[in-house]
Amino acid sequence: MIFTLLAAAGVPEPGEDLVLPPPHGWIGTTDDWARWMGIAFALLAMGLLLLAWRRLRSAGLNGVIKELLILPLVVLPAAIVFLGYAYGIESSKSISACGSCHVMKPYLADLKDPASETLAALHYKNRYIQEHHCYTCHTDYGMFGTVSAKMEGMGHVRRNLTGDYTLPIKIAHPYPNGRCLACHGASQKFLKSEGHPKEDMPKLVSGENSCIDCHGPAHPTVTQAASR
Amino acid sequence: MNSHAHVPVLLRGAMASTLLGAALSLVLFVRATPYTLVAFMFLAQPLLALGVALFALQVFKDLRREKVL
Repeated sequence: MIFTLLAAAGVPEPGEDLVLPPPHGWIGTTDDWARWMGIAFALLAMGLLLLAWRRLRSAGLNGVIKELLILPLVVLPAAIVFLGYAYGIESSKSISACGSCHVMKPYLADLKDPASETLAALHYKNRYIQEHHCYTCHTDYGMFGTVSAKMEGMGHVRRNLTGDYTLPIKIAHPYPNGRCLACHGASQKFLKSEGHPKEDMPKLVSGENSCIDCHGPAHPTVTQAASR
Repeated sequence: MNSHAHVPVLLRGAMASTLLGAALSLVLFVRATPYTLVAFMFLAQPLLALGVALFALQVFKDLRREKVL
């Protein structure tokens, strides 16, 4: 009943994201622009090529058509590749991209469950991470973090496509503490916590002690995931 | 009797390759998933690059034939 009243007032139910109206003068994100420009350029290139094909078949190849073909054969493909990278790489960081494989759905459901107390759900529901929640925690920081994450992502696509995996899925490598410490390491809450004495810091940094050992589970267990 | 003008094979290849590459790219822009991204990276991009290469080859051949190069 209360949720019905809240929904009528524009307040989302638990588990739903609150969608705020865009600010005045909003013209979209860079991703939106890359996407729509990409669609426009791809359609333009295809349209021009079909038009050029008809002209070529009727009038034959001449200097004018050859010069005009530079647009759909050279200029527009270069723009499409640039925009495709910009939009494709960015969109692959979203939680919907990670959850697009069936095997990930229970983990995504747990992430968005406000009643869940797993580490991933806590980070999501309290917005400790603003966006790209899966990607942020499962990617190393620095210039090559993205590169290695994308390389592993290609492997995941191959495995999902060919069915080359066994259930329950497991993380490929032990989870490195560096990914936790990159955000929490300098926070006063972390530094002043009695659970993080200074003498234990070297063990945390070296990975001898795992953050997950005390703060886990990061995700639902196999049984929990199967029941979702 | 065929009344269509002759279109060089290289140019046909360039146009077909670019058309296919642009169509695959369009799929990514319309619906971005890991699969469409992989298709864009490993199919669309090589096809678009092949289109440019074939077109450049056609231009080079024409310039050689006209003794500009």
